[in-house]
Amino acid sequence: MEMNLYLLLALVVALLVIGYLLAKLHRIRNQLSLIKDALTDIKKGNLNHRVLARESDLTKQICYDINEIAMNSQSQLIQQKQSEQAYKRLMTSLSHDVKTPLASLVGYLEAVESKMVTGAEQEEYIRVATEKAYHLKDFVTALFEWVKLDAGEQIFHFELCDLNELSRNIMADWVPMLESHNLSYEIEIPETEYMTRVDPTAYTRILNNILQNILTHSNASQVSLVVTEAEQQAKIMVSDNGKGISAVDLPHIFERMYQCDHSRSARGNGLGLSIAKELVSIHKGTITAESVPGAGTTFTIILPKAL
Amino acid sequence: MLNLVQTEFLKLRRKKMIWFMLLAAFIMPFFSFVYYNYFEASGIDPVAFYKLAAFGYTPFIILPFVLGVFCVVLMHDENRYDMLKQLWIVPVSKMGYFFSKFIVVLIYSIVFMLISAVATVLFSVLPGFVAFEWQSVGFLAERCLEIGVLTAFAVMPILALAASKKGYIFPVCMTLLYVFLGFFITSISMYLHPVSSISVIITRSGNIQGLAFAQNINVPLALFCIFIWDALSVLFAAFSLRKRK
Amino acid sequence: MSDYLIETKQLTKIYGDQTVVRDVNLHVKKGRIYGLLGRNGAGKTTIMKMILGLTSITVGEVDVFGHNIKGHEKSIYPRIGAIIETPGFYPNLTGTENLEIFARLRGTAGPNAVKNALEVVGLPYKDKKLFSKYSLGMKQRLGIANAILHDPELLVLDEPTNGLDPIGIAEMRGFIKHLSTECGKTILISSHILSEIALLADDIGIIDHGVLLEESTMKTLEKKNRKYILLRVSDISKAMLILEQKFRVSDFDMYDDHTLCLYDTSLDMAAINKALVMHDVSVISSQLCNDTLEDYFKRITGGEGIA
Repeated sequence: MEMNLYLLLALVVALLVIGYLLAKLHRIRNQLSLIKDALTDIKKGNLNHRVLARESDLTKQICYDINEIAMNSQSQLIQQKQSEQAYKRLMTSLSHDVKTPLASLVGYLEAVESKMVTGAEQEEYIRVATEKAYHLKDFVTALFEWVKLDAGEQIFHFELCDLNELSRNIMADWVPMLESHNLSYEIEIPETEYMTRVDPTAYTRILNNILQNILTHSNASQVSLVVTEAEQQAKIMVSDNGKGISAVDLPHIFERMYQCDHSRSARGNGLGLSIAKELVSIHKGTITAESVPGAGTTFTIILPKAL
Repeated sequence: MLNLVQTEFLKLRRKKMIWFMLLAAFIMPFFSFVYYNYFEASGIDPVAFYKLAAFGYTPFIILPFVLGVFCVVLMHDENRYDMLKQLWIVPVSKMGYFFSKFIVVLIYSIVFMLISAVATVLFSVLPGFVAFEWQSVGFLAERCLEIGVLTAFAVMPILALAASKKGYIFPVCMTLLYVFLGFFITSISMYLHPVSSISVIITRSGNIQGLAFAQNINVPLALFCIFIWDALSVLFAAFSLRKRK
Repeated sequence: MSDYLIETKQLTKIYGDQTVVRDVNLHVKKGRIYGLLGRNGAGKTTIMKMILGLTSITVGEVDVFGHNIKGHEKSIYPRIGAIIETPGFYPNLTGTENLEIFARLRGTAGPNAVKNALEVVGLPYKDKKLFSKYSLGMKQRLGIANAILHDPELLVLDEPTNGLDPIGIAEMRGFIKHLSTECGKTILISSHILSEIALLADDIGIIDHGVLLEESTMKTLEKKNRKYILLRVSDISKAMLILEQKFRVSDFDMYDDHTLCLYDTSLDMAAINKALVMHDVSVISSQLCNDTLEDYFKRITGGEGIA
């Protein structure tokens, strides 16, 4: 009787173990068939297919590895597609933004050539045409600069220099320009030396582009530039009291070819801020913009002291 | 399936109610202690004490009711917060879902009866009502296990009902009704209701005196009764879960 | 296999004597965001539920990944992530514990899935806060986290921005956009807010009273959403010149080699036409395009508009 009871118990335990093993085997078979399906699908090009595994699955590591491989190739593929698309967009906007002013330029020159206008009007036409040609030239230059940056072909010369001194020099060049546009200015740059590793040309370009942007778009009457320094980073704030940027446009202003007045009226080329951002990020810094529509905009650049 | 059962236990985290309900396992042993203490008895027949402490009201009323409420607790949150559709698209199979809940009920039921057995031994041996002997304790433990397993099967209709309803009041009322029905229907026939069938099974060898029955003891018939009720519950659960989606 | 991840054929749902969805043929293309637009009660949720096999289909068929879900549950469901209505979770567990339950049930695509998913939606990992104490916005986020927990290829999101504040809505939008562009996921999303769908979707389906009124790409619709005058002329350069000089208009673009796009719709077209003709520029056609998406939806849904 006792013996039988123990035998029975042993049998039950054995059955449980067998049942457990069978269940495990069944699970592995299912997993393998899922893996097979997923691999076929991935082979066909569907890199989004994932094989799910539980913490307790024997196949866990295999599944995770398959997923990782698929994920990596997927993100590569997407990056590739995106840069292709960006290139296409660039080409269309290039042809678009060059074609419209070019056609208009041709119109003016034809009018002059065919003697449609004479005298003062003719001179006026030539002046407009020249302006348009210069604008076009600036645009193409900026565009090439942008493409070069975007492709990572620009070579930078980082050197240790005094950021305060550099900023002062840039602003000194800007003063006549600001005065001629009836802009009052306020410049606050510490007298001390602040040695930072920057590319002076690139830094100049960043400030130039921001100031140029204020000049062309903001209708401001006052500009201020404030440089403040901390142990690790320098903060450069450029503010104006102009018309500001609406909340809808604000997140996009650093995008290439983004212009707040959607009409693409002749002024500006939609590249300045985009280039500035690109250059700041090459200095491992950040650039942000805050704006209150109607009250002004503040651009804040943060540059780390050491690269 | 193992996975499903494990997650069922994870879902019960921080549910204090289920721990409180385990305290119900002490009710009858404690009551027996008070009862025998009143008569200042000593050296009584262990089985007589066990009968009152573990084989009486515990399997007949307390355990079925506690398990019924437990079933409702298990099902209630998922029903109320409309979580089933999230489970179906995992996918969790409807029957896998039902049976994993059942296994949790089974384990809970066994734990409840084991606690009840331990409490019974404590309340009988420590005050010196009965002498501790392996044979009677072994008998108690074995019968408590049986009660635990069988009662879990007996409350399957409640589990099925809880799975089909969103609220908790109706299933709890049905639990009460079901339990008392089991109590009253005994006088008509032992083999109509699973709970009374369990009493038949645990008293099969006739060595628990004092539990007298109207009918002859017929273990296969009792098992058959439980089987029929469970088969119907499974069908009902399958039907209602499919319909609810 | 077709390019459609979801395809429904004559999908119809009848509750009692009420037809909730009638003959809907949806086509969700791989890698795109499909917006299902309709007023509350138009049948969007019912359609999504039928697609997911969560409610019975009266008439018609649904193919997901080229298969009928029935009979392929084990291979199809793990590739879908979904939120239907307001997602429910276990109130007695924390967000992390809730997700761990689903991770355990479903399996995951890689290690640390729960942590990553929570990070993506901006909820703290291993937080002590119980789900019952969550705000509506947090609940919605947890729902999204659960939907992306297993890195699925297809997301079915039923009104995912319900109950979110404006910032939350913008975040959610950015996040959905990210999933589509950076991860190549296919997304079916429903909403009763036109601007919501207009900002997100690549393709759009308009549902009204259970009927799919229109299915088209967002690009086609956007063309109908601008106000401009298309002016077809014989000599575009000259036309530009005249516009600039005589009417002081610079707010235009070349649409193609013979068509100008004027963004100022308040222009006196009669005078412009006359001036152009006087200068030997023949005007082939001039056409005013002003139809906003709003107007368009009003027309298509029979005047009542959406939201």
